[in-house]
Amino acid sequence: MDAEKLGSLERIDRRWIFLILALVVGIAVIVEPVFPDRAGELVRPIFDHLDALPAGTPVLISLDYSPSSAPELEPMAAALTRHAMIRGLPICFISLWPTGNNMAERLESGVLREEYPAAEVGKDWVVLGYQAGGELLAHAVVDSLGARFRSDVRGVPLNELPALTTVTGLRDFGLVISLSAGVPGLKEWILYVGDAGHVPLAGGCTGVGAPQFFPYYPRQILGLMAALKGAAEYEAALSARYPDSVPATMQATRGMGPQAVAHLVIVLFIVMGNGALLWRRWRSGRTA
Amino acid sequence: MIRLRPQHLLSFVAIVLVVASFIAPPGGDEPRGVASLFAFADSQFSSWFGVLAVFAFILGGASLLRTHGRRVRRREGDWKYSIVTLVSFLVVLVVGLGKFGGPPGLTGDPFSPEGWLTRIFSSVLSPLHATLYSLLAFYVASASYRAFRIRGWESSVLLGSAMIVLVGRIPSIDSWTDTWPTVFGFLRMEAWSLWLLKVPNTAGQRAIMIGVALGIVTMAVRMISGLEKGQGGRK
Repeated sequence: MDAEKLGSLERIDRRWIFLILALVVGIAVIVEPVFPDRAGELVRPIFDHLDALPAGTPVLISLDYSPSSAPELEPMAAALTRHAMIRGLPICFISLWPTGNNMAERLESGVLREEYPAAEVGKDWVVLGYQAGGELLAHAVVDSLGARFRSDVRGVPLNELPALTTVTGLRDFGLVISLSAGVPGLKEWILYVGDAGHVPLAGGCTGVGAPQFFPYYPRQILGLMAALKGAAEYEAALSARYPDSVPATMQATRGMGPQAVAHLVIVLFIVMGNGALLWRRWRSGRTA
Repeated sequence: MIRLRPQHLLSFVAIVLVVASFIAPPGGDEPRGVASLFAFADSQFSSWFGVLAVFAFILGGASLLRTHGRRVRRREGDWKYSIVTLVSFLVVLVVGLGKFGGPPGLTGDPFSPEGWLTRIFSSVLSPLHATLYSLLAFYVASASYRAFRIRGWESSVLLGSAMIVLVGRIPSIDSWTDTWPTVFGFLRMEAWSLWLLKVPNTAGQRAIMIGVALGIVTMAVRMISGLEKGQGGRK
């Protein structure tokens, strides 16, 4: 191969990279390749904990994300919601982010009302929603939800919500899960609720945020769903345990196809760039 | 007579919160005696913070109107974008406060599915967020191609780690490698990927966290003792 062609492999115009990636991902989105997955070491403890809770035990899910990170975190929320509905665990949704109420509304319309028409708001799930205060909101409700929440988002007082009849504070939940895209999020739940309030805690986070949560696993968080793969692993565990009660292919499992293909394209470009670099160095070493 | 200054208030609240954390009974048991007083104060201060945070929104909104209003009036650089900001802000504010399309009244849910605020969220904000975030994939691909090169031993370590994590996060990889003979077990990328995240990453993250925490403690002690003059608008 001549030096000029080799040099071009080292310096591919980024527009070609954009175009190839767009084409490959576009085709993968249309073809929808499905790669079977299974729950790994980080996801399995969350699934097992939720699966072992006695029916009727409420769980709290904090939707600490916005639409920008929803493709990674919403499938986790949907999978957890499905699991809780199958197991008969009432869910309480709250949020430390102003966009949380809308994210809860999307879950209600996309999963709860569509897949579980018999489930009732107030009894099988409640949305307490967003309140200002960030991490100190979470800290304030460790002992008493009533310290900051008087009612759910519909205006129904807490004492009239059957889902929360056994709940005073966060310690009364079987599990508290923060699906976190930034600050305030999982880290704040660990520092102000899990550690300070001795509340069982698990989390889900975006891919870029995942490395910062590894120091907390497994002593301070039960498990961690990292990025879309974490959600796909949870869906895999759910499908394996309740094959007749969940959709055949869920959101994260579908999303992993294009993502895996994109990963492979990136790996190929990296290999190509380095291959050309090494070849050039070898050639220049020989001619020198 | 002692004159109450913001510094006294800061020191008092901070000391109460620190003491409340240290004397809280282990295991989340019910606090008793003096500990219950501190726990009560801790809970109250946390709730008051929520009230303060609401006022911060008002301040933030006023600041946004003032800053962008001034830019439009003076025709400063990019003033047309300021008009977009102001119009968007006012429209969403009015729609949200008026609860248009949804249940009215103080207790009416502003996020009800039929409310205009929900429509703005799902038709404008959601697609805009998704579009901007999805562009990252292209930049990440281009940046990876350029940055991950074997230039020296440090960049080679970076390249190796990145490749292991990238390949290790591909679904089904553990199903494929399950079928490999045991002798090739050391080649399992998903195990290497998890090891990288659990061991070297955790060590690095902990080192950073402990360093940052010590810095925060130092700053907190300076603020409580009044040595730090930067906060509260003082020079």
